Amino acid sequence: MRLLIKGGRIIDPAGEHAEGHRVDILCDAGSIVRIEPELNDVAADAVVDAAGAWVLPGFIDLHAHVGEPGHERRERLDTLTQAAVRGGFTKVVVMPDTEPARDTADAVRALRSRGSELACCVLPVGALTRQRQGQEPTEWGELVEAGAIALGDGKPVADSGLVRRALIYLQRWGTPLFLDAMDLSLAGGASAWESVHATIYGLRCMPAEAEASALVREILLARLTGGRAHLQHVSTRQGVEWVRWAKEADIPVTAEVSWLHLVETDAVLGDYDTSYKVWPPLGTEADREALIEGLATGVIDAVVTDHTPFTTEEKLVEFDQAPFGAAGLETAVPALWTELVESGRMPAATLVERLTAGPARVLGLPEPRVAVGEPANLTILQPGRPWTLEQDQQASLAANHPYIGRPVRAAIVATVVDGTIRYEQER
Amino acid sequence: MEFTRKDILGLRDMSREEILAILDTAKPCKQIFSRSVKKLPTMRGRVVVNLFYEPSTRTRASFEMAGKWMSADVLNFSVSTSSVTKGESFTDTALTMQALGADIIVIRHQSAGAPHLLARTTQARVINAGDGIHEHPSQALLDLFTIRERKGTIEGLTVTIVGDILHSRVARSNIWGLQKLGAKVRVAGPATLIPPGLDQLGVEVYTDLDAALDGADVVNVLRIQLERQKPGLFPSLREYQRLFGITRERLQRVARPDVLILHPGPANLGVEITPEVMEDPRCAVREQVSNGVAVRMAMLYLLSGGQGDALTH
Amino acid sequence: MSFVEKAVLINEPGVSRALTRIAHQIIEANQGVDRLCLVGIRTRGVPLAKRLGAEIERIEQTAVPVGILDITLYRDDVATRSNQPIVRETNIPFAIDGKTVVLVDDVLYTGRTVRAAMDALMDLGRPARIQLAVMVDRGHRELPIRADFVGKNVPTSRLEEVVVRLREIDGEDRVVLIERQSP
Repeated sequence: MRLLIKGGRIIDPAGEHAEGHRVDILCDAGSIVRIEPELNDVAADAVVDAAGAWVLPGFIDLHAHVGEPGHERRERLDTLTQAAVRGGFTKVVVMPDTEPARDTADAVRALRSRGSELACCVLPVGALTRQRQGQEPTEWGELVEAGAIALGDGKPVADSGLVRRALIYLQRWGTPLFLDAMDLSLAGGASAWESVHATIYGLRCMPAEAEASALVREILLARLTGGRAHLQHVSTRQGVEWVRWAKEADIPVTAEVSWLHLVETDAVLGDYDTSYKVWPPLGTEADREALIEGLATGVIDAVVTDHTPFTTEEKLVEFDQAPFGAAGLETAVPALWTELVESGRMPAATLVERLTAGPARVLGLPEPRVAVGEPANLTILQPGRPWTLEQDQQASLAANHPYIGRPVRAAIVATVVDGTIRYEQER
Repeated sequence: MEFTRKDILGLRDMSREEILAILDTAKPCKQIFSRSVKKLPTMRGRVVVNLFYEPSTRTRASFEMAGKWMSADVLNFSVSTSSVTKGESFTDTALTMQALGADIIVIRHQSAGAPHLLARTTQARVINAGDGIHEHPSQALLDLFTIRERKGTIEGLTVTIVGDILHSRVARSNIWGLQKLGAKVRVAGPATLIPPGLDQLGVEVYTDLDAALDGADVVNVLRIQLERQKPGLFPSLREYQRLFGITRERLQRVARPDVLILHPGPANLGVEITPEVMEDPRCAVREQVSNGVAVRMAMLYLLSGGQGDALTH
Repeated sequence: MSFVEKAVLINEPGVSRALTRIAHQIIEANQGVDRLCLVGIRTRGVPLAKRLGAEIERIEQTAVPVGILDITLYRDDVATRSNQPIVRETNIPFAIDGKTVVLVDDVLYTGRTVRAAMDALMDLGRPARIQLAVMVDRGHRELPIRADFVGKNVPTSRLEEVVVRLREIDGEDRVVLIERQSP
């Protein structure tokens, strides 16, 4: 399979093509084989017209949820990966909150073995504790050797001793521990952060300290053990400050932010649309500003979708009874590009870095590149192009997509996984 | 003006003109109390459903009376927590109400925003009769009506709301309504029962009741909802009574002589208010009940039209 | 849509003369003013009722009680309108049981307003009889209702509108015929 990508410009934050000139790219047998200003008279099985578009390293999503097994009506692996490539992602990390939980080596292997039939690469997180109950440890070494890219329960772990032991134990494999930092005793059933909006809308709310105090625990345990703690979905100004403090002290933590927290605030909760009820809750404008700043300066390593699909009947309920989570794989990057890059708030190369090299570093994977000899995992994005995701067009089964019907000014033109076009938008 | 809103979900998103339209309409509605025939044909053939997810005797009875006096068919539908746990979904119930022919659904629910969800999922018009700790517009409207009746105007008055502000939908709706009609709003209560960010809304926050009462034209005494109190929000009822109870002695000491006392009822006598103050002529608690029916008649009337405008005027 | 004034149906002295005549007719028809009262229908029936009351008092040297009726809550188009007109107060500070009530309005058209007014009166008491006085009867009745006392009968088309302007509300006394015109 020979694929020719014509006329795009490269942004390659990990390499030398940071300022892109117009190039043609030839891929063969899953790798990039030639990058030249003009490639004519080249035989190819397929050609992608990338004129006016950026050719980017394939995006990596560090944080998504899937319903298979157990909740296939929310999302199956095939629909998840189709949604992923439509959103420009070539690798997706899936959390272990399936039913039953992904807490055995067999379950990890079963997912790994699905690889070839899916639209993109799926990297499983293994559960830290049995049935994600936060008590009995799973067989950590077996999970990692079966192919778990990281361990974590996908929810707060109250037992500090357990977190400490895991951080020590996992160092043998260099596997990161994914931590959902939140003090649930302060959170107490809240669905919003304490703010004037929570007061106005009558929402149960919690102080930012619920996140900050838990983040501090994770950071101190990372310092104590030297283990790799990855702080999931940091969502408040205070949270960003503590992560900055940790990084300045050379504590081995990495951090992510969800796309929705970069484009929305709690002001939107007044419509009681449960698609905006996410975990952690949407913050204030000051929180959003701090998160953007944190992402721009690299305090936060990666931006994630935290794609959490639910069915209509699960989400079409009273706000405080709805489950937390929003779908985002298909719209995260176009929305971020519109809000951050098109508006001039962040250089394109920075956002791309946080979608590619940043998450790769968190996982300990090689940084994806657009360069000869590299695997042909590529995302082609056209900036400025008006695009709207309509309900009937989405590949995801999720009914809780906050950006359905909302126009953005950037579109994924095509996604190439291992040299094969896995998605191409009709033009 | 004409009232063009589909639903009445709260006072925050209502204009001053809309609030005044309801209050002005309530005034003639109140005349029905002095008539021998307490029946108006206005809503003949209209179906009003009282959909109550929380127990409430007063608000439900008030809406029922208002509907019946205007000849609507009123159906009371109480959803117990048990049928919710049985898996009967909210939207299913809403669509059942619509299929029963409901033109207006009056909803009381423990979740903030449930009326908004209902308004989105049915074609029926929706009146919020209290949602969680969010809003209780009919209560605030009857409070405004009572203040206007007693004081002539609301513009320029200082109104103090006393009690558990944090868990009070009555307080929130009152704040919006009072501010829109030009009153200055103070709140007073234990610091643990003051929600965050009130000062950003232009509300003066007091934890000393005497200071909050000084110069106030109206005091709206909230019910301490014993069933909602989580342990530890204030030390004891006895201490609450001492610090925030409205007593005749306290009124004599710090309040204006013509201060108007309101209470949404039912009162915990001897806790937030003493029986003597309840019987004091400055206390309008009984009028509030009849004003409540009048205000709810006005709300029902203003929402009783069809959605399409088939008629040429 | 715009409106064009087509004709002045009654001028200022005409309004006064019509009221004086109607006052005489009411007294004559009821053989005096005993047990008589007037009720004006909001909005323009109210000043007309007050003027008729003053006129009757001038003639008979006896005061006649005058009340105000708002019929909004008795309209038959509540369910079909998409938004509702504001309700105003009814003020009839006397008992109407066993009385002769003369309803007063500015224009008699379909008869629906009068139907609503009669229902409203019935809910307030049991009058011995109800009579109707209007400044203009313009025809096009949709209900079996007729006026007992009429200032002027004016044949109209449905495209036309009869507007009664009164000095208490509009600053002048004048009845005009206007026509709706499509732009």
